[in-house]
Amino acid sequence: MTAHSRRKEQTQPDTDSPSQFDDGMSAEHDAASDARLVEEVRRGDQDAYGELVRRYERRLLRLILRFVSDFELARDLAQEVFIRAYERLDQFDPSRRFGPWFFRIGVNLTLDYLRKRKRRGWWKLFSESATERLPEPEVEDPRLQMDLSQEVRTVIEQIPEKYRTVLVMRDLENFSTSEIAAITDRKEATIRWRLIEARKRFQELWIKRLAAEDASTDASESNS
Amino acid sequence: MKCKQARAFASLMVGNDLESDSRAQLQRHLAICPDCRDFTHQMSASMSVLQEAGHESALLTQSQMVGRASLWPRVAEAVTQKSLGNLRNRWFNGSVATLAIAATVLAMVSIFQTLNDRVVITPRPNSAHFTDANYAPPTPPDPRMTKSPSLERDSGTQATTP
Repeated sequence: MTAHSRRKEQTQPDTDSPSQFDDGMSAEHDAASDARLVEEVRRGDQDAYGELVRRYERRLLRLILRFVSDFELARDLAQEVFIRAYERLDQFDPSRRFGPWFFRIGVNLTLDYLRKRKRRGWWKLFSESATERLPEPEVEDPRLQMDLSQEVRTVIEQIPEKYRTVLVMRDLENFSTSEIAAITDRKEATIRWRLIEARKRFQELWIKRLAAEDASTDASESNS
Repeated sequence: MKCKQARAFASLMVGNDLESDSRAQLQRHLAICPDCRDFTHQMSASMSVLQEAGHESALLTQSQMVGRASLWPRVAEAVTQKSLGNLRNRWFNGSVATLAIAATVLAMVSIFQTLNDRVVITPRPNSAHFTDANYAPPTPPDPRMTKSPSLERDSGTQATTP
């Protein structure tokens, strides 16, 4: 299946697809009903917020799971996003769409979490003794046990954050470039340039990984 | 079109992010540039891998979500607790401010009263202190001293005066 045909398939109606914001009438309807719900929440109707949670939780969870692999952690982060959005609801401009504003909170919170975890990881790395970090020779190369999605995730994690975010949102979660621009608060032209760079970097890293895999397979075959 | 621009366009085209006029320009360049054609094929292949992996993990996520309860009860609980906390904080902050103002006013009143008590007030005959039991009324003045010299002369008491 080519990338083009897959993209076409992905743009078919999907209740969880974030791109339904841009699907003409349904997008307008969703945006209008989102705005109405936000207004009701502001007037003190908590059940209206329940409706918004149920409307966005699956899409949000899917997006967070592109950045963190642990499902329970993703649920905790999603919960935190909903709480933070509720607290900041008075800052939301009702003349704009709720979706991008909400997903911006989600992306920022998730990236903040990852940055903190990375800092903790560096600290742990320096505080641990060197012997604990030595690879065990009996253990097989973990790359050989990974499935495709894990391998791709490992490669994507090597891409700098600003490119990775765009790549994940566009190519894995199917947000449009205009939506990504709204979510990340950048111009659409910037997003397109980042997308070009992100795809190039992914391609280079993927080819490098395949070459390394081939080399390790050849080495194990010659040893046996 | 230069190769650099063609490769940027190719990177967008593989994700269906290129406008039709730019796509036509790119196709013209690819027809004459084998290097860029190779690049586009490689880019297309890595894009397929990316999207296949994305599809695979979306299915996995879908299966993980099956049977899981909505986040709303947890969110509702947290939101209610936070709202109550905010309300309590607002009430606490308000009462602290009120108490502080009341304490300041009381302190000012007591200071003012203390200062007022220390001031010595000279009683006047028509003042309320005049009726006080402890108050000793002033001795009446000597009538001789109060007489004016002109009167003395008129009554003749100073007749011996040369």
